[in-house]
Amino acid sequence: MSKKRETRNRFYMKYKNVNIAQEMEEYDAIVVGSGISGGWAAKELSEKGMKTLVLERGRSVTHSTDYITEHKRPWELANRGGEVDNATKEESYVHSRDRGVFNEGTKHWFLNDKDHPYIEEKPFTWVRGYHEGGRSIMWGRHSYRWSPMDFEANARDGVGVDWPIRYEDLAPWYDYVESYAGISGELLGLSQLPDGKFQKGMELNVVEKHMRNQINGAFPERMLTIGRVAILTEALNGRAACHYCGPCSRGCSTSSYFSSVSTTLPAARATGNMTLRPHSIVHSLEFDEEKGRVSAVRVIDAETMEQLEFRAKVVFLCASALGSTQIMLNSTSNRFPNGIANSSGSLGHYLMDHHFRIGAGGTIDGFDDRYYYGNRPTGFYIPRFRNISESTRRDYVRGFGYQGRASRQGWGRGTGLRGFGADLKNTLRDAGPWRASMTAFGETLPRYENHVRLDSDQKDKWGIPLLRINCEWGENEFAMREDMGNDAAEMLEAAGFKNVSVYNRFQEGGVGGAEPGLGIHEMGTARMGRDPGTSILNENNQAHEVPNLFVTDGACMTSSACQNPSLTYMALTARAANFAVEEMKKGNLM
Amino acid sequence: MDRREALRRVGMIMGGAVSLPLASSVLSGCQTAPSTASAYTLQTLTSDQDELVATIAELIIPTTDTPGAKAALVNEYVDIVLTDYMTEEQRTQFVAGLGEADAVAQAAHGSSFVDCTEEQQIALLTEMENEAYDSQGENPHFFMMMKQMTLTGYYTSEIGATQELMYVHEAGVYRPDIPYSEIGKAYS
Repeated sequence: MSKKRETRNRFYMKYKNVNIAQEMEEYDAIVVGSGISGGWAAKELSEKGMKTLVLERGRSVTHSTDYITEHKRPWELANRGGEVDNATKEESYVHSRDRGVFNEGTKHWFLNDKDHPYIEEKPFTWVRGYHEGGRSIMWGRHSYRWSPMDFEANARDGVGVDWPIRYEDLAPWYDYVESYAGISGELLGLSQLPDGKFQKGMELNVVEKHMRNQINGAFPERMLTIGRVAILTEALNGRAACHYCGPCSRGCSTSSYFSSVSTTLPAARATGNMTLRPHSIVHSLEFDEEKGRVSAVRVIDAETMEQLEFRAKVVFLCASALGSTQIMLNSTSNRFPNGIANSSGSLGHYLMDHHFRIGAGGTIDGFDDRYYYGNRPTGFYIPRFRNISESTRRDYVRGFGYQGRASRQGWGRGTGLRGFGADLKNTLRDAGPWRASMTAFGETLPRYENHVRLDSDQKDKWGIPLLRINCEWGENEFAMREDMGNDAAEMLEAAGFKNVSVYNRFQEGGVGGAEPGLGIHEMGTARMGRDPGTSILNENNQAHEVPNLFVTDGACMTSSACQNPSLTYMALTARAANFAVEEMKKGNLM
Repeated sequence: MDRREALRRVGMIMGGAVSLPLASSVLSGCQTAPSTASAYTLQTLTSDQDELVATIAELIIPTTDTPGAKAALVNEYVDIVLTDYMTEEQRTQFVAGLGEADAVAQAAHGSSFVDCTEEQQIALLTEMENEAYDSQGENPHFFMMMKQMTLTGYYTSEIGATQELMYVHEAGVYRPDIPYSEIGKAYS
């Protein structure tokens, strides 16, 4: 590979066929996708000397310059940073369902759904951003380790298949990615939410501290802590500490939160070993029956519609859970008529997300003389406390955690107050009562019925078969949701809150409520496992049946836990990339 | 509005520093004050409806020791929301509500809403508010739509956010627990 490196950084094209395929110089590695996982794969592979091609299906993004709404004041945006306009709603009819992440300040990071259709056999809101950096630009940034309990869960409960790894296998890689990404948080010593290599955490405000004490006093197994987030509280590798402006998802010129664009892709670029090709939609993988390897990645240039082929010793699929799965399903051959590496038939199945949008809120008297300063870009987190021991056992399996925050109400409370005129204006000049709310994120089980597959005739404008998604919550999720609402209310009441009310956005058959997909933690459709007969990937995220194919995004997940998954994707990706490099050095992937 | 009043209000909008082109346009005629002082072209509202919106908005958030909704150009924000953000149904309902406000004013006082005295306007708006609270319709009442848009338009405007409330752009630090008196008012 060292000889190859000398000619890197330029496409050497040789026309083989007018219609199909220009044969490219062979790379050491191809990474499909540049989001959380792809960025890490690119960094690790190129830092280890691999000549790496990153294929990104969307546009390129220039750090800072392309953060077009960053630091815009509310009055500088037509709808003051609120909902998107009617024309955008019509184009992005799926993304408009999620008013939480899709707004006037962030809409340019999400898809026009008319150009990127899929088929919902049951409501499934598929949130996507096709551009360099992918969803790492708009992600929620919460970063939690999985625990030993999470990797053992399937084996213990007899659900799905067993993870082929345990916490100890991933722990050093969590250390590694946390130290580099920069995670701020508090050390707690909890077995269900292991501590990591953290920068100092952001701080709870006065009411959140009160809640922490009261809740922990009433329920000793419940702990409230500051959200562990990939946002710096101390400078790191040229990235500045957070300046507390607030809306991270618009992009951050000071690189204070982790994204591929701010952190991993620059590192990959600095090696001189990475080439990132935008507008490169991967159609499928070519399989060499004789060698039993992926021999090429077939690409359609989104702008020119040209068909291209790229070759490498190894291929890392990091195109998001459903994106990678779609590519694999579309990669058929004599050996794999149902999708590459899919003799087991599990590809596309066992789709999971986190079910959420259920919780409680309330107000609390007192603390009127206290306030805070700065827009803290995270809230509090309450780690899982159900089914973590014999005494916390429930009639469902697994559990949930909460994200929430307390703050003083502002002018928004005015619509609920009767009256108008100078009195109303004077009332709203003062900060209102303190209010807290929290929403639960619940684990979902891997079930065969929840699946994606390719439509047999409908295709997108690049000729790729549309994905059909068929996914719904099951009994275990609904049973868990009872606790998710009630436990939140119970904790608020224990902390002295009034006007406590439970909310639950789920509506049967509806969209924009709490249907699958909205958690934006879709995963599981090319799962890891010990048995090639029931899983796609082995303990190194390597396809059981195709040794030079790795999948390290959400598709690889064997169970979902209840923690936000991105940190785990980072750790798995770094681990798999380093494994692949070792294998190449040993000559095992030739 | 007389000239002196117009000047006083403009002085407030500009924080005392009256810029000449704006002031001369305001002084050129009372009916053009202050909502038409900007270069904004109405897209949905007629100029009469615009004046009515500006009048009601100012009743909801009046000028006090800080400028009110009119100075913050809430009427322009309302026109933008009506044009690009509301559904056709909401837009129709809102415009109908404006017509109704004038019809009620005509019936009660023989003049349009904006030509009523401030006292009459407040009484009419109070009636509208009572009706809004009593009605249990599926759609929000015109008064509630108007109030919500006025509050949002005002408190997210530069005037509302920075003069009436406390706007913090890039704090630089996060301080989790400070005395309320240090800020003394709500964040925008």
